[in-house]
Amino acid sequence: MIEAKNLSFSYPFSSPVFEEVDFKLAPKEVVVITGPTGSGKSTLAKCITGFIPHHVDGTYVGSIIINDHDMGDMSLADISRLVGLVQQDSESQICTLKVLDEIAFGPENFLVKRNDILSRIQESLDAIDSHHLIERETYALSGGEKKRIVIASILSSLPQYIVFDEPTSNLDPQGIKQFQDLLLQLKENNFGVLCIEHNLNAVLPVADRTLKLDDGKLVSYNPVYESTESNSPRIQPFLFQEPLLSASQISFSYDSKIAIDNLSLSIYPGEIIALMGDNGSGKTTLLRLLSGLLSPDFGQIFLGDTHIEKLSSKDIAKHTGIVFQNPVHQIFEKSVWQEYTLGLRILGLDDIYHLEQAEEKLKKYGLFEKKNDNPYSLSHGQKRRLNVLSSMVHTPSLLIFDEPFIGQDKVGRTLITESLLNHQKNGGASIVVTHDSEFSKGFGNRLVFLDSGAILLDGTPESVLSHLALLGKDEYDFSGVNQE
Amino acid sequence: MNKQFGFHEGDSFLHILNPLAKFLSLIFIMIGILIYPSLTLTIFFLLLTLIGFRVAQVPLELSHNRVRFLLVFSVLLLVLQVMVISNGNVIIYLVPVLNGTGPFFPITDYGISVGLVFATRFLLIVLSSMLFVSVTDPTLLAHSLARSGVPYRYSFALIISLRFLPLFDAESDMVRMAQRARGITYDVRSIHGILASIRYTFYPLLVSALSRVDTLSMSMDGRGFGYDTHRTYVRFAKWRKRDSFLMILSLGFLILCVLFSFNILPFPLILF
Repeated sequence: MIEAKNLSFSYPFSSPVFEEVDFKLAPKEVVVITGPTGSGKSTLAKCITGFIPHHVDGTYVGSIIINDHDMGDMSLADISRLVGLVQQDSESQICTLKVLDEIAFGPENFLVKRNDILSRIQESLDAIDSHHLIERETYALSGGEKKRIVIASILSSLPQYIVFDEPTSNLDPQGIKQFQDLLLQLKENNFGVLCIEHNLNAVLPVADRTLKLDDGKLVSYNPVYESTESNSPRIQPFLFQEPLLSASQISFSYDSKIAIDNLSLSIYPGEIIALMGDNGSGKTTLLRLLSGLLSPDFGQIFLGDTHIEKLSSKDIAKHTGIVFQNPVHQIFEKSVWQEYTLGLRILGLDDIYHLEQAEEKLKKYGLFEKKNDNPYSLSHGQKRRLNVLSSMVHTPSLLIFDEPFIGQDKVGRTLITESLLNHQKNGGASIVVTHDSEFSKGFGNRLVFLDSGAILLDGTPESVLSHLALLGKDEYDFSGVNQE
Repeated sequence: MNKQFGFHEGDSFLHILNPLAKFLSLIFIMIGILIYPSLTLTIFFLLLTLIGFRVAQVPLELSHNRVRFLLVFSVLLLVLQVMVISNGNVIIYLVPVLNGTGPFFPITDYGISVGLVFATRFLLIVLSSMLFVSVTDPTLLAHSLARSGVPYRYSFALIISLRFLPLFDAESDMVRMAQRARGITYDVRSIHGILASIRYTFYPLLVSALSRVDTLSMSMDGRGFGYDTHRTYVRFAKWRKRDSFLMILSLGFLILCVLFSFNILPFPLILF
């Protein structure tokens, strides 16, 4: 049993993240902790896994007892034999170049014999149904595959308790289903599991208890299902108008691997297109092609009636607003305000009218008080909101968003969807990569489903999801986010 | 992801050599070349390195920015040496006698030969190191280093740097894409453009790299890194006869270079 008693923690020169938290995790138990962005969930996970106070500075009060031993008296290596932490950012947790080496890393450090390590590798990969990845190079895996490998690399060390921090954030619905099965399997095998999660629908079916961390307090929580569907009637796309963007028979390969295969797609004003598909199906590559950041090997893309390759990056930027998966890669300025208005300055639109409008939106997004802060000092969710705002500051006609809801709490999610709806009302179009069918059904008027770089289904969200169910992919219809 | 640098899996002769034997041979040959400045020898090893890329089927695309940068930099080294060294027989003056003044900037045979040695040495050191990284499995290298007595904490520093090489390569591509997506353009021929490039490229890359440090160290410590002074290995490299042969050859080369450079053996003219 892991038991936290009267646990309080604050980072240097900051107010407490949480105070007097009591928490228990028993073997054969799956506990979920949810709460808004920045409420301290990840900090609590670091406490429970011993990284606080061993690895992170701050004021730590209280105690954590693990299997009748005080964690304060144990070394981090000893704690890590009992508790494993799967962190939020999969990419940065991988320290070797091959999947096999990565999963062997823990047992090798704990001096496990070679033959035993080999069988642990098999078992860990079997548990996440990813045996096919064993010979792959880690840097070439997709986001979802990396997440699976990180989980396997913790499983191979055979800890008694595992803490998952946002485990489903990069997983496709099939991956989420596999993760639920994994949790049940871990439970059966006497593991104690703690899941820190925004996406409650992903873990609630297998959770024994749910807790909520908010305002520094950890309390028991009974989530109530709330549909995220929009109350306003769905706007129909203006199909009689010229498409804002059209791709005709485009193909693209990375070396010999085909990423996009003879795909055609037109985007019309008034459309909110949900782009869905399994991990590695080519969604991100397609967005990069549509935004002119990659050139197709074959086929053509037109922005309006101009071939996209004939346009300068400034011309493309004028008509498109792009948000990438990692918020850090698209922040360039030293203050939130400078970053937000960068697009206006580049495009020569930094006049009073636009700047006043920009200020209003910054207030609405709750970032105005931080306008002079360094954007890198914002939380992950706030950085994401800043990315979204910055991409729309010059009112482009087409928004291209790659998984904008990752790491967003209810508030952030609502703000982003409202922005998409307003953009739609003003005649703009959006294409949004997401694994969330609730978003597709609630806000999208078109769903494009990619499979192996080609469009498998294209239609209204309801019809595509029902066809997917017929094709045995019914998990996509239940991949909504009951968000906290 | 299109990987330009880092380990390329393969089964060529260069791939299957023991990583430690390759590493030590590389160091011996580099030291030999540095203490015995022979242009012929340097060009010989440079050609051998280029053949090595071919044999190992590792692409060395001259069109790639970084390879182009290496070539440009080596030419600059040559030009700089030719310009600043005035010893030797003058071949030509860059500025001839004009109205009774001059001549200035003599180009000498000695300046050219020193410039060529510097430029080819630079290319050899960088390209042979790139070849070594391309044909050496970092995990096997870490194991070989650990077996030779290097604490595994240090040998893993090497693995991690190689692990993150393709990642940072991909991240710099991502940052450039993000710049283009925002319409950011700069002219790197001006100081202002260079500063803008630094600000818009290195800043996000640096922040991204620093943000990974904590996560990575927690990930490694959380899986028992440093639990004991030793660790086991699932994959390990064996030492074979060919590795001993390579060591004898490279060590012999180093000893010869030392003997030549200290005039213990007379300089063979063919190698000068």
